[in-house]
Amino acid sequence: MRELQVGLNQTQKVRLQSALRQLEELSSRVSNSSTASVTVADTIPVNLEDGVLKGHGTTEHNGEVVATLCGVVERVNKLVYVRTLRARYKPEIGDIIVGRVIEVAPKRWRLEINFSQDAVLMLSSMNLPDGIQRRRTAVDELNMRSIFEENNVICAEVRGFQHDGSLHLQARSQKYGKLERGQLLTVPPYLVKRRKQHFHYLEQYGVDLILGCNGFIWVGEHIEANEDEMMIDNKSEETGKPDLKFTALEMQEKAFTPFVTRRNICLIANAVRVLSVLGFNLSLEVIIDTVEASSSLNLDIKDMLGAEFCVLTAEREVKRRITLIKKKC
Amino acid sequence: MDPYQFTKMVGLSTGEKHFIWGGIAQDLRSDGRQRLHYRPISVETGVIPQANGSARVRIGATDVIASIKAELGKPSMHQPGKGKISIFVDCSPTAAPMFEGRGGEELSTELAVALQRCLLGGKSGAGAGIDLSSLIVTEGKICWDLYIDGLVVSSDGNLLDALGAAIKAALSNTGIPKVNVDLGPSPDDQPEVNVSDEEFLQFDTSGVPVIVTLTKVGRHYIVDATSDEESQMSSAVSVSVNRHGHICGLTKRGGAGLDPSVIMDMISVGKHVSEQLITVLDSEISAAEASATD
Amino acid sequence: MMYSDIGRLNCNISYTTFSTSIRGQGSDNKEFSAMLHKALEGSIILESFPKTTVDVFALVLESGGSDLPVIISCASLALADAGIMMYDIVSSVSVTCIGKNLIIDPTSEEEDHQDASFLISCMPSRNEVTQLTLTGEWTTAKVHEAMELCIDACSKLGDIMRSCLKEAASTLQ
Repeated sequence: MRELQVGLNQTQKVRLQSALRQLEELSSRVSNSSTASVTVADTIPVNLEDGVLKGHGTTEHNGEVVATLCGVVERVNKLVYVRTLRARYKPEIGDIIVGRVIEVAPKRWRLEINFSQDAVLMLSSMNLPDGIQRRRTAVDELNMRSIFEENNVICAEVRGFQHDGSLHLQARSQKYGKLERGQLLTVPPYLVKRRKQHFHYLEQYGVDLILGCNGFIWVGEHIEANEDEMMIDNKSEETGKPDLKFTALEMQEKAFTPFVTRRNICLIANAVRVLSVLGFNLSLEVIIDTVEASSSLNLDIKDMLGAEFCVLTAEREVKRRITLIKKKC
Repeated sequence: MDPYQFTKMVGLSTGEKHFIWGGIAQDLRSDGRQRLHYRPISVETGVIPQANGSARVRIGATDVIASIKAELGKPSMHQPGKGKISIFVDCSPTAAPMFEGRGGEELSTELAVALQRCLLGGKSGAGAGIDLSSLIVTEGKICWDLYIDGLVVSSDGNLLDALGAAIKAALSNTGIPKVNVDLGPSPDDQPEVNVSDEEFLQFDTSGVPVIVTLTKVGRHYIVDATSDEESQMSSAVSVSVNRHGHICGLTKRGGAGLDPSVIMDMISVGKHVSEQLITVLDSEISAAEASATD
Repeated sequence: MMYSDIGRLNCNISYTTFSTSIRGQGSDNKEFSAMLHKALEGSIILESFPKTTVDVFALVLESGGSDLPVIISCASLALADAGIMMYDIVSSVSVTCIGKNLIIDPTSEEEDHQDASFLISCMPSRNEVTQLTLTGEWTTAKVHEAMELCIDACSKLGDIMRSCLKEAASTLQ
């Protein structure tokens, strides 16, 4: 189990351990024998006569298939490979990711996305603010910083690998683009499963939640995706600069996220934090469930990161999975 | 060069900065805390068996270890009736990328100096958190040299408070072996020293202060800033306060100037916060000690 | 060195070998250098000279107590004289507490017997404190007293520094 940052007292420890043991039992009941976990140099049992395709994380040694990674053995027909649990993000085409711009280079932005290399977003692979489809001119290139600057958090889609092995992104829709007025959380990428929906507008909270496949999660104020978007962005940028001048401060205070929305953002962010500490998969249902649990307990937002709520969340997850299994049966 | 400029390299977009500023102005920070709230603190004692005393303190994602070693030494000429204490801090490269190579050195020295100022009192030793005269074995001949080492394992802001708390916990975990000294017949003889490995003297740690850092962002100040929040600070004041509510040391960092009345205000807020922090730490330390003896 | 869109300040303090009563026993000047940096950086408009470093070198010829406040005030004067853009000059004063008495501008001997110390550097015209350090045990009332004493002294020192600079300017003209 991952080490928790919270101090548990004796009873909490016992409760958490029993909850985690139950979860382990449940998962072993659901999964079949094929998902055996291996460590480096473990032999993977295969039937060599059928012919085996050795995939990622395997090698051959003395006529046996041996693992070169720690993780779970996956089999697809003849292919055998090892899926690691704790590693950097492995992009797949079509993944929705959240990343941070680290460099504005000629005709492209470089992004940190928790992959083994930086991702590239070409100027030509994104829609321009005016929305017109045309060739990118030198002027567009000069104005790249007005679209994304260094350190901006943006959302995009994985387009594919280039011949030279670099990873390219695209942002060809209004829903992609710069993310502002909110916070970025990073969790281990394996906690975010690929789904149909990664953008979530939580209407009752007025919050946008983006679960990036790379483990970068954005929780921010809801922004309508429309033509005015760029204008709003420009305005908030002017006031957003931490200017020490007094008048600017007062201006800024007016532009701050409304308190109620901020409360909701913090609530959801803390729900994500608790779940990622416990190592539970992050899906919209579980996150909302956790948020509702904390509100029904009348907890202070900051106490969601405390020991008691952490144990409670683990126990709730056990209950949830039991009901899931019952439904299947 | 200001070591804290490294923390400013933590890249945040304008939108995120604005969000942090807004949160502090509206008294609801990114993790749901109010301005004067600490993150959950956990204390573990006796983590390093080789040391005379040790403790690990975690405040949120900030993780520090303090270890205390006692060695027999000779008191200094100026103060024959007192032992010696030295404080060192080391920033592990695993804590943050900027600590790699020599990057952590300047931050380490700054933290060590600040800790010395906050814990060791004035030059004459008055107001020190640790009574130096309790470290003396034979006046002018033998004393204990206390080496306090702080290690930053993981850094998410507020290192000074965490290190101060870790040292306080480590000191209460420290046992100094009993020493029997046979003084030779003439005063010039080398005294014979027997260090007991069974009997230990506990330290009196009631006088050890806690450190509270108030970070000023915009017009407001906050305690226990995360590294994201620290990257937005204009200046910060660290106050160390003991159980009697007396101030035992103070340092300011960050370039921006502060109005004297603001400083006085920060000191009184720091004092108020320190009362709560002392209570929390005391209960955490005693819980940690209890679980360590189990 | 890394690109920086604001100026950099680099401070270095050294002691001559004969500055102290025992030869070569200057104080820890690395720590002092950091303190000098912190005291000055708030007063300099670093935005006004990007990609540039300003070096401040201080050499202590004779150490007789209150070294750091003197170095800070002196460095600020030198910066003003060098034509570096600043918000205000920085004047600095220290106070030593022996028993119940506050002693301003202590000598070396007084510093050796101090129970507590208080150092402040401020910009007198703007009434802003750029650096403040405090060691030893203090009550809030005592801090108040020391603060008032020092702020007053700083503004007086600031006036002297100001007239000094004016004099220098008038002789040049």
